[in-house]
Amino acid sequence: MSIQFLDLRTSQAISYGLPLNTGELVSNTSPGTQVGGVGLIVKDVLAGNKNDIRVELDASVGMSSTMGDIVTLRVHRISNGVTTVVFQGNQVIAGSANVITGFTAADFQPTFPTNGQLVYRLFVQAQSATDVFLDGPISFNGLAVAGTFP
Amino acid sequence: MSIQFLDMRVSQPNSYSLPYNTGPVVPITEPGTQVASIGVITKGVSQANQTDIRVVLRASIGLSCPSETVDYVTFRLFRIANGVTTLVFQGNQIVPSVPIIAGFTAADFHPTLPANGQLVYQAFVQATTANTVHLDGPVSFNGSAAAGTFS
Repeated sequence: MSIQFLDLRTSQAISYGLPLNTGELVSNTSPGTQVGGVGLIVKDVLAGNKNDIRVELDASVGMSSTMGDIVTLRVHRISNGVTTVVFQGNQVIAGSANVITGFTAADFQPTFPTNGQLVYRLFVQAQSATDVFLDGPISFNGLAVAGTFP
Repeated sequence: MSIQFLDMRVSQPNSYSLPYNTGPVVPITEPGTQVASIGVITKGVSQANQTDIRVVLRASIGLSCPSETVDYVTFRLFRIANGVTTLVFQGNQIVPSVPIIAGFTAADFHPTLPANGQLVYQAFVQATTANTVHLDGPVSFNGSAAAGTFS
């Protein structure tokens, strides 16, 4: 089968960074605070490409801390009623400074969702309950493609 | 010719970060350790768009150094096409004694059309100090190719 572009979705919960340490507090309970979510529509996939879907997910999250902390960034896939962690990484947040941290992540050949939608959610979890601020911006975007050339 | 989406490929050898400083050590010999690789298929390109291919490449790499230590790593992206290896992106990044997810976006503009229809990209990481930088993960390396424009 040929290569198909399926969908691109964006979720930009906060477009402008707030002043230092004025954003919402980041939770320290797993999996943390949800900061973005996208639903990629894969309904268009050809029958021959159903087992060859691939997804790229890109995120930027603006945060700050007063003393400094380490956050865990997680991406969950919700599909066919099942939640799966598809990406997890740790990132330092320095004290008294704004930082825009980000990543690219992938989901390779997820099981085809019967409702035609792959949902991805981005979470941030802090170690401290009271010292990581979600100053923004926050942007979480995904792209789904399927198939290859024979 | 119109604008064409050609392909998007993903390579995520390591989806979850390991505990601090437990990943494999990053070597200091050039070009370093290969952490990921993708082959972007350009076979679908129309004849008129063959010399107007562009590729965006994104990487995220989780790294750390031991306590009280700092090092610098060099990221490199190579294109392998038509039997030729070309460096398309190179950058240096500090690695502190805490976990970081370092990353970048890179581009390859107008690569020569690969005769076999595939542009291969490989990502490498090289440390400055031996036995210092740990590849704790995650590691994700993704690329998309498009071609053409409206006339």
